[in-house]
Amino acid sequence: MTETNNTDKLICELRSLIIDILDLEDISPEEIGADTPLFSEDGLALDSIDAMEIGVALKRRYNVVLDKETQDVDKHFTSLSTLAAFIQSQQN
Amino acid sequence: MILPSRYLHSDIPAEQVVFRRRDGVVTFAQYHRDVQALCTAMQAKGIRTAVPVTEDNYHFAVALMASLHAGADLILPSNRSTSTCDFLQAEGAVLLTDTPTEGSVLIIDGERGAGTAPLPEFDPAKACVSFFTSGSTGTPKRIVRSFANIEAELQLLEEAIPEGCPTEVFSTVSFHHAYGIIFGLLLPLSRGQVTDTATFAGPIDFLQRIAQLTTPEHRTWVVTTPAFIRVWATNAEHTPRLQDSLMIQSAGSPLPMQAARHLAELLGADFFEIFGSSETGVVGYRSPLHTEEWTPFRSVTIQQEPEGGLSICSPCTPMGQAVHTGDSAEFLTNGNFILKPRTDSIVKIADKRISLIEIEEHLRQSPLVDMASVLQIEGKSRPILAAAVTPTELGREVLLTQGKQEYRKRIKQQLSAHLPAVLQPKRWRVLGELPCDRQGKTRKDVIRNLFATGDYLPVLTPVFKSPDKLVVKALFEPDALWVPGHFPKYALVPGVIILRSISAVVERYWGRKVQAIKRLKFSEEVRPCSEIYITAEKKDNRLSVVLSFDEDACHTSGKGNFSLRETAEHPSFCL
Repeated sequence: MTETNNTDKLICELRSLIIDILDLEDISPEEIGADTPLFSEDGLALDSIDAMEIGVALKRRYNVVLDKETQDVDKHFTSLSTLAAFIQSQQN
Repeated sequence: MILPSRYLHSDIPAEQVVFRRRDGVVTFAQYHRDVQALCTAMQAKGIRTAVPVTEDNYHFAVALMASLHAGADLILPSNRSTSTCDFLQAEGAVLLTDTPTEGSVLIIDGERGAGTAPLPEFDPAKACVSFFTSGSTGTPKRIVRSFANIEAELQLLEEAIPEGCPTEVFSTVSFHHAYGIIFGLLLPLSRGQVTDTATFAGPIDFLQRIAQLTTPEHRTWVVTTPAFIRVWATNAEHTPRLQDSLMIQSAGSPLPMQAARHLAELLGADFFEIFGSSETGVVGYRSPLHTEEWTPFRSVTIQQEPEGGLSICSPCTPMGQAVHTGDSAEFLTNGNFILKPRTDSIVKIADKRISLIEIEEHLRQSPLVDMASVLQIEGKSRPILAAAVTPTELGREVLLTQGKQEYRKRIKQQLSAHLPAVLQPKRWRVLGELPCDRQGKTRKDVIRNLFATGDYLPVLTPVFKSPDKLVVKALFEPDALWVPGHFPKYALVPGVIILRSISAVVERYWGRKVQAIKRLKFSEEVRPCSEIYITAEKKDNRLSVVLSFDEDACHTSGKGNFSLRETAEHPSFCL
């Protein structure tokens, strides 16, 4: 499988994960684009507690840890693409 | 002013008109005779506790005074359902009715008066009246007040209500509630005004009645609620301009200022607003178009409690004792006060305290939102905020052209100026109207249920209304419960949702309930995000309905025949 395919698959998983753990009503996976902003008002407008819950879910599912002291967490949490890139970089 | 306990022993001229009914007027002498007749019947049966359960508001006025003069305590139930009546009868109370019912005393006006004994006097301090309030939870709460408390309230009102008071009083509020009985019945009676006791088939019928009876010589006082004022503002064409002749009184929940200003401009109406409750009696008043400050009624003591809430003490409270409320106020040096968000509206979200009322105010400031109700619900992993909103004209446009996600996104962008994301609502319902009770208070319990069950009504906009014909635009977006249909991704609005919408339209505008469906045939499906016209035509108890995608009905999606029945209670002016 190519890296692009892996990334697409990961983005797809992250979509479902976020909808499930945050219980996002009225939003189907197709409505969250790979580059849709997760936290800005132009996108999903998630909040800091949502970020914490996503962080916990990522640890459980992919065994990756986001450390605010050493990493640019805000950048990684920008969109599904940036989250996927971060997970892949940690797994590699 | 003549207080009710002295009213029927006063020297009011026998021919003075005291009530207006659908088919004529009632003079003081007639009222006296009718009360005397019922009082005699009650005394003969030794009735100690009476429950007026009447279809006719005039009969209620007769039952009230007859009970007091017969020395009976009064119970005014919040509804007239069979189970409530059975329960009260089992408790030893006797129903006073105007339709024959087993075990009740029948009120018959006009005929039975001759030869009855003189009307006994009564001590208002010894007569008790039980009211039931809906409370914020929707569970009725019983409140017992002495009639002396009520008369004290009437005296405070007499001092405060503007001079040159109107001569005709109309009430959209049932006499079974403290607000309705005091302002719609007892105050006009005590001040020598004429109370209209006609019952109405719906808001348009009510407005036409006002239009018919209000003249420069007959100044009108309308006792009503915020919910009705909203309906009125969208039906203002049914009321003529009545410069300086129309005073609209509101209580129960905050006055919808946009609707009030619209009526003031269009009809020349002025507004009078009361702050109080069934438990406290009246507390303060104001002219909402001119000031946000409330003036306390004389003899009413209001104190901010250290732990939050107000303590209210007045001659209107039982035994003069303090009543604690969840209200909050800022007290001004001139003795007036400004109401602040209720302390019981403050919730804790993400360790931050926030007033739900404050969020509702921010939402209402959005050009996309007309009304808003916010509550705290349990999310999947934490408490979250949920908002039910009704769209403005602009909001409808956005919903129709760009969908609910865009609508919600824009509102959230506007909210961000005031609230961090964590304090913004996470769940949304866009509704045609906020559900409210008869007193115009938003039914938070019903809204909570909307989030639990997804119960749904479309956004309704009246296009044409007459007593026999109604055209309403229904926007089945965005919270229509839809089914995928026979084809993948082909969403359909279920027929049951369309039927509920038809029922809501009929009840909302005509005060009738759909009893049975005789025939309903769809020739074309209704899909979410679509707008249809519901054209209803009424003849006696039959209703024919056409659903169409065009206002002129050339493109029909459904036709149906229904039978109707009157609602069991007074017409509900809200959904």
